[in-house]
Amino acid sequence: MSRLLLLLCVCASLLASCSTTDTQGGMHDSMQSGDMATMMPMPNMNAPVVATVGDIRLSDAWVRTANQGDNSAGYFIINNSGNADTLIGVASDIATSTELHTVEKSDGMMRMRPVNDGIGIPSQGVQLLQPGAYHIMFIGLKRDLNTGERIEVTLTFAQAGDVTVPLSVR
Amino acid sequence: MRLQFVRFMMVILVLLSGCGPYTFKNTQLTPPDSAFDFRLIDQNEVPQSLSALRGNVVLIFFGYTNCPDICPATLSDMQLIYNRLGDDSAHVRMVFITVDPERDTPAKLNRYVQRFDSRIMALTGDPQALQATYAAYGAGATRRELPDSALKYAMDHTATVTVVDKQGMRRLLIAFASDVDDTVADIQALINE
Repeated sequence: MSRLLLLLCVCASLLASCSTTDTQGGMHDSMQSGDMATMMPMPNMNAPVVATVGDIRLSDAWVRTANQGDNSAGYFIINNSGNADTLIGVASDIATSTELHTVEKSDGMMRMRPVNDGIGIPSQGVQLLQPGAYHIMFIGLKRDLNTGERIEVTLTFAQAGDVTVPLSVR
Repeated sequence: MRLQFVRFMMVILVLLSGCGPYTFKNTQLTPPDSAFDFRLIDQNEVPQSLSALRGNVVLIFFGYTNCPDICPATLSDMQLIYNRLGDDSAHVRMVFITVDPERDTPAKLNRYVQRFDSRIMALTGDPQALQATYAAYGAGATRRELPDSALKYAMDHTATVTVVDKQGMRRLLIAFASDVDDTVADIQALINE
């Protein structure tokens, strides 16, 4: 029995010297809930629908905070409950120019390119606009975009037609 | 009694297994090599070098202010990492190096990083010093004309963040859109070395 006690003491002292788990606990404690809003976003598939047109529903729509004169990017989730469609155009009055862009990743390089033939939306499917992939590109902002504000863009779908979507500035 | 003892030992083993040396979550450079000592100019037109930051964990990444997607995503992550680090952030420096010195003046860099976190150091410099830095960190910035876009041109570049330890050695590579909590844990481990 005393052997067991001795063993217990040895183990306890071993565990005491092991601080990695403690550090991580502390880190999570210090996390502020406000941080979550700016976290590198995985699209939130449960976000409420902010606009609909035909069989198309749009959700989790946001644009990155930026300065007047600079550029920014907008993102959202497209849910399609009908036949295949294509996002062929975008317009807004907050920037000199608004375009559809994508990012091609090859050999560790990120190459941003305008999308000329539209963004395809599968039938009964989902298309994501998100950082590092398809996005709306605002070139030459006419004013600052500050966190918490809301802007509007008009999207044109080949089948479903036009729809105005509110994007919240994050 | 014997069965009890075996059970007890199993519990202890499970507890101890979580407590080996720290395993980094991001890609480790093995063996670590000496990080290139860049000589550049910051957003306040003050000369900066990596060697002057010795003693800090330094995160180095490349981009340009006209970049609307990848670069703000990375800058926003950097701000988040700083916030999550709390007091530990005093031992960490974030360095954003432009790949578009033609458009990115110190004043423009300053305005850009201010929107995210004023603790982020934004650097430009003379073409030779920048080229040497790109080459050393594999930033591979290439200008690409975009006749179909109002942007006129984009800079193709790597979105990888290089982590340099307190001794000036390149230790980790963080891929684009990596988990912020993983990176915070890795940085804390480097601070505590």
